[in-house]
Amino acid sequence: MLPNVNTPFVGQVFWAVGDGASPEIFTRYCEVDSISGIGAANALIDVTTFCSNGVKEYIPGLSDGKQVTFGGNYAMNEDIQEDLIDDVENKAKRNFEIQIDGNSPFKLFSFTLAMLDWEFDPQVAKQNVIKFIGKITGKIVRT
Amino acid sequence: MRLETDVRDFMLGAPSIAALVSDRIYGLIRESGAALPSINVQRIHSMRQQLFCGVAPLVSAELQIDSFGIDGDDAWTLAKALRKLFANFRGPMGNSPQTIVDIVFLVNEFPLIDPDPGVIRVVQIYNFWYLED
Repeated sequence: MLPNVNTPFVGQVFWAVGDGASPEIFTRYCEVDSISGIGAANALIDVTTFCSNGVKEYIPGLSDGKQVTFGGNYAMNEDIQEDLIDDVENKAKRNFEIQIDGNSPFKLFSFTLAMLDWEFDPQVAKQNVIKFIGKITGKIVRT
Repeated sequence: MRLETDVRDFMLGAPSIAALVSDRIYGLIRESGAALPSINVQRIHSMRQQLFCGVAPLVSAELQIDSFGIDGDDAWTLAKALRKLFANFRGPMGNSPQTIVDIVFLVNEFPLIDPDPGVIRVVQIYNFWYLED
């Protein structure tokens, strides 16, 4: 558990996968060693007018969740891994959490991914790996 | 369960190795004038994978296994027996509780002279992938 201080920290971040039930249970996917792309970007809207005194003016437009890539070790028997492959095959969405293990309750980033891609990358001399790609749909809820 | 100990037990239990060195399998140091041929085993590198949940149990370790002989033929004969023993090995190794080895690769092999006159050492570097408890 992290101390409640404003300092940088290493680790203590967990990738948890929802089961889609109600209430939903999130299970940490522990083979994961890389996560990237969690965030959102606003569209750029040009609102320049004849009254802009010769300079461009903009406002932020619709927010668009980013494409998230995560990967880790391929395991022979890992239910979460198989469920995520099923999601891609079934063109399904799934809820995820980034759990930051600070003072209780955890700090959470909660979001839904439209599951787009899975890729198994066999290795000849190290761990076999698998990665997934999903697109954030809707808002990232921070609690 | 310790990799080096289980590798030593595995080699002692292999008829092809026991026929050459009997029980002359040592750790870091070979004493000057000790009987030959003989084997030294030492770990030279370990790499553990950090996952978001913690350290993965699958470990990559490099073991240096030295084959000592009174001449090049003796040393290379022993080194070849070791290479054939470990080639494509996967499974439990050593005595209970055993080390579970995913795979072994021979990644380097070269001869060296020794401070003892006439003694030749063939150095082999093996990459062991194994499960750590």
